[in-house]
Formats: sequence, structure tokens, C-alpha cells
Amino acid sequence: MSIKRDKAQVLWREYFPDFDYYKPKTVNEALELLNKLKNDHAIVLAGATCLSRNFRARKFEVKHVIDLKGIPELRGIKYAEGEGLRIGPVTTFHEILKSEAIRKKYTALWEAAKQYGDFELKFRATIGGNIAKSSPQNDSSPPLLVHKATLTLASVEGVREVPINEFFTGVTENVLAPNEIITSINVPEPPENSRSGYIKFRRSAEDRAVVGVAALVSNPGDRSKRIIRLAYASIAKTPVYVKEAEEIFRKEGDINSLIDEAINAAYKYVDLPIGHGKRGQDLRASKEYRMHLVRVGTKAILKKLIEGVEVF
Amino acid sequence: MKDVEITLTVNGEKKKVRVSPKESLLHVLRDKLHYISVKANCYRGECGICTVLMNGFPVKSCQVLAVETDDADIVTVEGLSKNGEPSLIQKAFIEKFGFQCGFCTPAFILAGHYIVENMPDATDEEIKEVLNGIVCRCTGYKQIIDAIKLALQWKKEGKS
Amino acid sequence: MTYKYVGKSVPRIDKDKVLGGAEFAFDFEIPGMLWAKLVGSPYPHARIVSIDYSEALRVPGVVRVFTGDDFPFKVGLYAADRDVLARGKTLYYGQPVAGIVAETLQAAEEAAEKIVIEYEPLPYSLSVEESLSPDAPIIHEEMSKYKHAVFIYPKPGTNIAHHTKVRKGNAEKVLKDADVVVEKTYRLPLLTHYYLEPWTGVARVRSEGTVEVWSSHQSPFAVRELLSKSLNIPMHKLVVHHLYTGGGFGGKAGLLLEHIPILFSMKLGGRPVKLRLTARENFFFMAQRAGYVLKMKTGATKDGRIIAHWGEYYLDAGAYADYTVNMARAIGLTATGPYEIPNVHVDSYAVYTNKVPTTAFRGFTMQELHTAFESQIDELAHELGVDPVEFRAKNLFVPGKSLTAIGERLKEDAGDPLTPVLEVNKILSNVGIGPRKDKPWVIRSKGIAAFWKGPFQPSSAASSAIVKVNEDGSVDILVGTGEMGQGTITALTQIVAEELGIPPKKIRVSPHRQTDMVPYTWQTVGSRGLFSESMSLLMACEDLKEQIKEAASIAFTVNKDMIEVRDGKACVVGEPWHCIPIEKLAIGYMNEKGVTVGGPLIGRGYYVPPRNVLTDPETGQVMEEGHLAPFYTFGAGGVEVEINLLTGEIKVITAATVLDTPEVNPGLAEGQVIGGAVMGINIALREEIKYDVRREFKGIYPDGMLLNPCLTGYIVARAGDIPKKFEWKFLGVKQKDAPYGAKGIAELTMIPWPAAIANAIYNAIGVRITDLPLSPERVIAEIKKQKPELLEKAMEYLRINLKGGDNEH
Ligand SMILES: Cc1cc2nc3c(=O)[nH]c(=O)nc-3n(C[C@H](O)[C@H](O)[C@H](O)COP(=O)(O)OP(=O)(O)OC[C@H]3O[C@@H](n4cnc5c(N)ncnc54)[C@H](O)[C@@H]3O)c2cc1C
Ligand code: FES
Ligand code: FES
Repeated sequence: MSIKRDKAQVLWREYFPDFDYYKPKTVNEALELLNKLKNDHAIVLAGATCLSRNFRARKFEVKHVIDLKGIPELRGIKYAEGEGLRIGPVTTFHEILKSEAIRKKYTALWEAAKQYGDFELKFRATIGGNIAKSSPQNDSSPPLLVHKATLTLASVEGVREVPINEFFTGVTENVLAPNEIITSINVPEPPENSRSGYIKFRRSAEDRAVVGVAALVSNPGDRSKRIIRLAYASIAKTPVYVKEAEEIFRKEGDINSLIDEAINAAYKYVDLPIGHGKRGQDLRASKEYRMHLVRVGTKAILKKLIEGVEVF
Repeated sequence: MKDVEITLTVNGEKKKVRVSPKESLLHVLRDKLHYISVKANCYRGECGICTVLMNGFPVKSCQVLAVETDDADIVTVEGLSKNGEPSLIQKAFIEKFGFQCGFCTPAFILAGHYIVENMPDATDEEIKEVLNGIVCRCTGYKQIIDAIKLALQWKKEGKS
Repeated sequence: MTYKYVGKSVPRIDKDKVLGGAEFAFDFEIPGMLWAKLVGSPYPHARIVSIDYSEALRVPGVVRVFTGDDFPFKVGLYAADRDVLARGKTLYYGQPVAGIVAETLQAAEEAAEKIVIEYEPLPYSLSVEESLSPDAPIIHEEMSKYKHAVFIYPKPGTNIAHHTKVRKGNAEKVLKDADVVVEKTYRLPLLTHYYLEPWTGVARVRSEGTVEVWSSHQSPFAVRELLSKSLNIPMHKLVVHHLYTGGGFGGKAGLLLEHIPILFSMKLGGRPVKLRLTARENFFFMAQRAGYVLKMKTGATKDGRIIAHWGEYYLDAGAYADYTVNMARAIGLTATGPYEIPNVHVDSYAVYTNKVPTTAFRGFTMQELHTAFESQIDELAHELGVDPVEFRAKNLFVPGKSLTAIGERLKEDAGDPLTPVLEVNKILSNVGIGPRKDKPWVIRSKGIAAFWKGPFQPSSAASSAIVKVNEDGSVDILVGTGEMGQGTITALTQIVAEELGIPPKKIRVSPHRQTDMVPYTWQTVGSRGLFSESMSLLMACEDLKEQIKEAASIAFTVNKDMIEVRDGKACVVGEPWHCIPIEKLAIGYMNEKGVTVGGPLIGRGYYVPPRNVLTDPETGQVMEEGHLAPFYTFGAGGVEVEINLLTGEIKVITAATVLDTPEVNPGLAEGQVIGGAVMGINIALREEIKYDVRREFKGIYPDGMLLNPCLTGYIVARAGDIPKKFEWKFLGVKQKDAPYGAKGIAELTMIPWPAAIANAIYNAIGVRITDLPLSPERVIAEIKKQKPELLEKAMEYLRINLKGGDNEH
């Protein structure tokens, strides 16, 4: 066999790499800094729950860390009847859980925050960090997808608004330019008579999603007004919005057949890019079981939102 | 980056420390200030053993950069006894056998202290939710939960 | 008879753990101390061609880099099979290949990045099957040269590290005549202990040559013995310090990595060196629990008697077998669980693979054995159409009569195998089996398992203790056992308090041990700690009382046998007004005239298990009448579970434990019962070290890597995962030659859960699962295989009934 040259494995570390640390006070200051340093291994930091561990893993080189926690404009939750919801990216899951508006009107997001990580992480981890991390397991994404949220992205060059459905491009990859940050998460007023919810399958009381299912339902019994939307975590390389479902549920026919059809549409997305020739599989679950959970989860969340039956 | 000087309050005392960006709050507390009740296990945010109260909330100190803790207010187990008198939660842990090897104990005591101070009517389920982020491999958690419930009850009864 | 302190919930004496200030090896530092960091192999099996650490040496603060060639010898427990740092070839992914020593941990970490190694990858094995196949790569080519303990039988030229045989009667023939035979293979994955204090050791060499080490371990004297043997250091020049240990569960028994900081220090002029692992490193550098493949065939007659058991047990030992060779022996010799079976034919093997090394784990193979065996028992009962409880009752050992698999006759007072089973059954008698009314896709059920265990130790496993009376009448206890959370030191104060009649608060046992300052004890393993130390202490207290009586008899000028010791005083029998407090005698008795008789009171005691004997290598039968262990604890566990047919999730609602022994301290015993149950249930449901045995992830993860070395991958129980309800009961059945009749329990509480849960699943839905963990994914897969109709029926409940236009609730 051939000879291989390798760096010895450092199996873990206590210390972060060396970097310069900045704590700007305004968005503009942050954007200027980021723009200046963007080609020199700069990264923005929020709750550090994810970054602290990537730093120790030496996942990537880092020389400049720009902490967004000192910027008041990036924090907080605003809801106005009819206008919808705006969440600052540096808002923690703890703060999201305290919002009555989110609990009542954007229940799926509230339920995701409730099931996110653990109690202590919720005081540090931010929704912006969750979205920007762009992991397939993101709990906040499926709810934001079924609520058709958009993200405001800003850089020194200007501001743009991107539907969250177009934000994710791959495992921990997204459309953010190197000098760009998320400055706002915008969620429209939910459709009339609607309810939303999130079910997270996990292996213990503290775990990331094996599969997460979010749904939004409005007027299920009235085909002309019916809206049913479905989104998933941890089934593919990005959080998944099953856009076909919208159409399927507008069709005529028994709702249960339509649900089966929507599930089949969701199956096509099951494609976690791990495992050779057996995509859909990772260390949490096989493809078969993942598909099973998509089926069970979809039916269960709709049963809950339509009939009020708590399945789990 | 060169070391920077930060000021933080630990258990009510103001401390000036020189820290480097390589360090976490955990290192500052253990290595620089010698609060050795703060333990660690994973350095990945998974085990919760490094829990301290920061600005009143339980957080995992291995995930907090030292450089971001300027002005932070920290509480560790060393700060819970007042004039040599253990706090309610500490007494309850002794009364209910809420510890075995003791390595996780400081983290659970701080989480318990948070519950006693902030969640007077916490149910079993709510207590468990607070504890889910901290691992104990010895006790099976029951006696820890019992201890927290006892401290809550004592607090209601006006015991100190 | 009731006692004043024994049997009471006396609070733990290690309160500093709660108040702050408890010191662990993790915290221990010495001025001028250096830090070590280890780097691991990126291949599971590879020849090392070269190691280049020139860049690492350039990092400021780096003192030295060591590689395997610096330490040209092997270390080990029962078999010296282990390199200090890999020499010549690496045997598993993550195996330490180099060690950096620097002034600070930061410098050591930085330098570690800069070591470059050239390897020539070799074919590797990730399972017992692969290692036993004819074209398997031979992992230990030099096995024939290794030093072995006398009772370990390796097979050089193969990957077999040890083979135990048990032959009693003629199982193969009898099985042919049995009315029913159950034959199954059970597979249990590798596990990690996940104690919370990652392994840490600090070592130095004093200028006069004494080697000192402070480390996170269970048994200071075992560490000393193994270090002395491995490194050729005389025992009096080797001091092992034991501080509080942050959990062990078997993973810190024996020698750990102490030799590494010691050897580094020896090469660096004796400067103190600290090696402290992080949890992830602990997965790779420390030994874990073996995986198991248990092939079993058990036969019974129509009238419900088990007549024969045949087994082939394989332990996946990883790259180094440490305790696992002896565990293969343990599981072989206790092959039939707590049942009398006349015909037994068992072969058990420890097999090397290119995985992490393996070692002891709480229960020392008894959870693994009972997981399989108690499933067999239930299956036999179902086959015969008899109640599993009655079936057990008919076949369980009868102390005084029964012969075990190795021909050992259990003593009359060995315990009570049957009542725990009946009691657990009673506790669960109100649990019905069937679907929940409100959620018919959730099925309630229950299941039980019986168990037994004694400490599996060499026949010479001795312990000793010293009791000293201080000048103020307070007492110091000196013992050699380690405190890693079980509460032994608290229980020991209770026993001495009872014996001397003084309150526990006047007694101290330091949690710290220093091998040159405390008396010898073999090991803190096998649930033997409290038992053996207490036996020694009882003798020490007797010795002390004799000395007190002696001194008091002079003081009162009466005969020695006219003196009794109670309530911390020596009194003349029948004359309670003639008493003298023991403090007056503590350093000798001085009369009114100033004449002093006697001297400082120091009681000494020891314990050696009586009539422990070895077994025959060919048959596994005891060599002469005697015992394998000084006690056996019997018990049973039962669960009430809910099986969610939609997700496959199993929830344990109630966990019931019944043990035959009395308890020394109910508060401590509760801790052991709950802690053991939660760990055991979690092992049943969630725990598994993962390897890519089927090579499904080739090219995605490095070859042969341990895939889930962290808590996001290896799922331990959290507070929210524990059963709603725990029930437990100690029957108080005393063994004569046991301290206050009490036997060990620490490991026992963990044994029955996987079997009880698997039996519960079968009882409710007729699906038999033989492999662990009983994860939701596995449960669904098995339902699909064995009872697919159940799943489809459950899905029906999720159908939505829409009344036109109505979506209000
Ligand atoms: C133990 C543990 C458990 C976890 N459990 C869960 C779980 O259950 N569910 C889940 O979804 N996640 C989980 N996570 C992942 C992580 O906690 C979350 O993704 C978290 O929301 C990240 O937020 P943060 O503020 O800590 O981000 P940080 O770590 O600060 O940053 C994460 C990433 O986002 C970028 N970023 C942050 N803010 C912005 C912004 N405004 N604009 C642009 N980029 C930005 C950073 O540059 C970085 O790349 C877990 C992590 C850990 C360690
Ligand atoms: S050490 Fe901080 S969470 Fe584990
Ligand atoms: S007491 Fe040992 S880990 Fe909790």
C-alpha cells in the first residue's frame, strides 16, 4: 500500500485560536469592519454556541472576530397586527420564548424555540446565528419557511431582502456574501384562521433534530380557502420547504390522500449528503427511518393542527 | 491579539484580569482566578458541567469568550454561602443526597439556585427542562430534582 | 435488632462537593508543572514510517516531544499488550502516537498541530467476525512474546486474546432431547462510561527518587502495583495519590494512563507533568466497554425445567484487551445467570479488533450476560406456555443446594434469588398490557428480569483498615479504597460509629489516599468496596476495643472481660457508674499518680475472602470445594413501559428494583438504585459507540474512526429522560459473614434493564429484539420485519376526519 503523509490528529483542544476581537456598537460600524477584513479570515459572532466549538475544532482559519452583541439595533422582537413580525438576528431563543405574539401567531417558531437545544443554550444562542449557521438541523428554519419569512441582508454595498426559502444553498452554506450579515428576520402576518406547529423528533431530552416537521394550516375544510404548508429539518442538505405541497392541498379529493401525496413530494427531498450512494442517511438515522419519520411527523402535525389531537 | 484587561464581578467582588482571545470564561475563572468549583468535561457546550451564572442566567462558561466578559457579573458555587452559612440549595443537596462523585455538582447547584431564585412555582417538568443541559452520570437525577424541590419548599416556608 | 447508625440515612460526609473546594485530580497542580498533550493516529491500522516533529519543537514553550521509540516496552494489566505511544504500527484510529510537553497547555496544543507523520495503511478489522475470518489482519503479531496472567489463555497467530471454557454435564447431547430449545444471537455495541471527570494525571519524580502520581482512578493500590510491574519501580519508591474521583464505572479501574506523565517526568529530570484529557480525547485515549456477540441455545423440558445451555460468547476487545480478557472469563464462568442448569457448554473469547481499547464496565459483564440470558428465559417460558415468573421460580438457584455453572455449591446463607422476582412482579401487578385509551398507538406493557452478581476477583483480593482514636475521643479511619461517588466513606463512618457507640460526626475518613500512608486494599471494583473495607474495619474495631478494654481493666482494676465498650466509653459490666470515656485512654491511661499504662489506641483489621478458589482451564469447574466470590447479591428488576408504535420510542414509566440484601444507608442506597437504573435503562435504549462496520460511510469519515466521540453523537440520559416513577425495596436478607449482613449493590442496580425492557416489548406486541440499543429506529425496523400490520394499523389513527368547512376547535 502507498505511504500517506498526515498531520497527527489533535483530538480536541481547550483553547481558541488567536484572533483580534471587535465589538462594534452600530450596524454600520460592523459592516465597515467586516468589509475591511473580509479577505482576512473575518467572521461575525453572536451567541458563540456554534462558533466556540468550531474555533476549538479549527474548522477554519479565523483572524478577526466581530461580535454583534453590542449592537442594540440587532436585538428585539416587534410585532404589529396586520404588518407582521420583525426579529433582530441577535435575539436569543430565550427572548423568543417570552414573546406572546410569537407564541400565539407564530406557534411553530415558539415550539421550535422551546425544543431548541437546552435551557442554558437558550440564553446565548441567537436566531440569527441559527439561520446563518445554515445547518440542516436548524430548528428555527422550518417554522420560518412555513411562515414565508424573509431575511434582510446588509453590507456596505446596500441592503437586500431574501426569502428564507432562497437563503440556504448547502450544508452550512448560504447566499451571504463575505461582507454581509443578517440584520432582520421578517415574518408576514399569518394567513387568516391559521395555526402553525413544529414537531421535533430527537433521541433524548437534549438533542438536535433527527427530523423536524413544521406545518401551517388555514381553513383545511374549505378547499377554496385552504392553505397547508410543510417544511422539514434534518432531511436534506438544507432545511426544506416542500413547495409542491401548497399545490397539492389545493386539489380536490380526500384530505388524507392529499396528505399522502404531499408526503411523497417530501420524500423526494430526503437527501442528506452523507453516506456513499445511500444519501438520506447519517449517524442519527438511516434513510428508511428518516422517511418513516417524515411520514409520521407530517401526519401527526396535521392531525394536531386540524383536529387538535396531540399525538406525541 | 495582545492580551486585554477586563473587569468582571465574581461573587460580588470586582476583579481585573488580563485575558487573551484564546481563552474562554472557564479558563479565566479556573486558571486565572482559581474558582476551582467550576469544572469542565467536553469544552464543546454539550455537558453543562462548566455552568456558571452570568448576569443572572446559567450559561456554559466554556462557550463564552473571555474577551466578551468585560463588565459581566458572575456567580460560582464559592459565592453561594454567606458568612460560612451554606445557601438553601446547598443544604437541600446534602439533605437529599443530591450528589455522588461531585464532579457535576457545582453546575447543578447553580442551576438549582437559579430555579430557587426565579421559578418559585416550578413543576417537576420545568425543573427537568432547566437541568436537561447538564449531565450527571452518577445520580440518575432524581435526588437532584428532590433537592431542588426541597429548597423551593424551604424558600416558601421562609427558611433561609 | 435495630442499630443506632447502620441502616440510617446519615448524611454524606463529603459535603465539600456541595460547598465548593472538593479537589479532584482534574484540579491538581504543582508549581513549575509542565503540560502534556497527546496526538492520535489517523488510521485504524498502519505502519508508522516516520514522525517529523521539528516544527513542533520550534513553538515557544515546548520542552520535548516523545514518540513510541522513547519507550521500548509494553504495559498492561492481565496481558502486557499495550505500547506507551505507538511503536512500529498503530492499532486503532486515535491511538496516541506522540506526546508534546510544554510550559503551558496553550503551547502544547499549538505544537500538536505541527506534527507530521508518514504512515503505510494496513488492512483493518472493525468486528469480531472480521477478526476471526481466515484472512483477517493479525493485530498483535508478537502476541506469543507478551507477558500474561496465569489464568489468561491467548492464541498467538490469531486475534484471540483469551479463551475460557466451561464444561458441565453434556449440553450438546441433552439439547437434542429437550422439548423446547431457544436459539438466538444477541449483539451489544461498544459503550463508553462517560464519567464526568475526564482522565487526568499529574506526576513528578522527587530528587531522592520517589515517583509520585496524582490521578483520577478507582483503586490506588492497583495503580501502584501495575506501575511498579510495568515500569520496574520498587513499590516503596512509588506513591499513588487518590483525590476525589469524578466517576469511574469500571473505566478507571486498574492502570490508566498514569505511566505517561510518569515516564515524561522521568525523562525531564523529574519536573511535574500534567496530562488532562478533554471528553473527546477520553473517547480515544481511554479504554471503553467491549462490544458483545452472544450466541446462546437453551433447552427445557415440558415440565418447565431448564436442562442445558450452550453458548459462544465473543467480546470485541478493541486494540488492547486490558480487563476485557478477564471479563471474557467472568461471563463464561457465570454463564447461566442465577439458574441451576445441569448441562453447560460455553466458550467465551476476547477478540482483538482495530477499535478503541476496552476495559471493565459497571457490572463486569453481568448486564451483558443477563440481557441475553433473561431474554432466553422469557422466550423459553413463552414457548412452553408458562408464566415467566413461575418458570423462573422453578429454575432459580436454591442456596445451600444448587451447583452453579462451574460446580460451586452456594452457601446456605448466600441470599434469596426468588423473593426479588416475586416482589417485582407484585409491584407491577396493577400494570395492564395493552393500548392506552387516549392514545391507542401507544402500548403499555411490563417486563421483568432476575439477576445475580458477586465480585469477580482473584482469590487473594485482600483489604485492610486502621482505626485510630485521637486525644479528644474523635476517630480517624484509614482505608485504601477509592471514593468516586458511591459514598463508601460515609457508610464506613456509620459502621465504626455503631461499633464504638460514638456519633458519625466525631469520625473522619479522608477522601484522599496516599499509598504509603493508608493500609492496603486490592481494588475498588465489583461492588466489593464497602463489603471488604467494612469487614476489615469490623476486625479493626474489635482489635481497638480489645485495647480499650485492656487499658480500662487496669484503670478499674478488674478483669478485661468485665469491661464493655459502648457510647464512646469503657464501662465495668453492670456498674454503669464505673465508666471512662475513650479519650482518657486514647494515648494511654494516666492514673491519679501520673503513672501511664498502655499507649495510643490503633486498631488494625484485614479481610481476605474465605475459600476463594480457581477454576480448571479445561472445564471451568472449581478446582476444589470453594467459591468464586465472598458474596453474591440477588435481585430482580421490572419495568412498566410505553411503546409508541408510530415512532418506535420506548418510554420507561416505572422502574422497580428489589435486592435481597439489607442496606447500610438508605439515602446512599437510593442513589445507587436510581443511578444504576437510569444508566442501565439508557444503555438499553440509547447508548452505542459507532463504527462504520459495514463501510457505508467510506470516504465520508476517516477509515476506522470511532464515529460519535461526543455527547451529540453518544446519547447519555438527561434529566428529562428518566422514568416517572422509581420503586425499590431491600429485603434485608443477611449473609452471616457480611458486615451487618449487607452485600454490595453498586453494580447490581444496573443489570436487569435491557432484558426487562426487551421482555416488555415482546409481552405487548410479540416482537423479539435481540440487539441493543432498543432505539426507536431499531424498534420500528423490527416491527416492520416481525409484525408489519401493527404499524399500518397505528398509522390509521392519524387519519384526519374533516367535517366540511369546519376547522374550529
Ligand atoms: C450543545 C449544542 C446543542 C445544540 N442544539 C441545537 C438544536 O437543538 N437546534 C439547533 O437548531 N441548533 C442547535 N445547536 C446549534 C447552535 O446552537 C445554533 O445554531 C445557534 O442558534 C447558533 O447561534 P449563535 O448565536 O450561538 O451563533 P454563533 O455561534 O455566534 O454563530 C453561528 C454562525 O452564524 C454566523 N452569524 C451569527 N449571527 C449572524 C448574523 N447576524 N449575520 C450573519 N451571520 C451571523 C456566525 O458567523 C457563525 O458562522 C446546538 C449547539 C450546541 C453546541
Ligand atoms: S465543558 Fe462546557 S459544556 Fe461541557
Ligand atoms: S455526581 Fe457524578 S456526575 Fe453527577
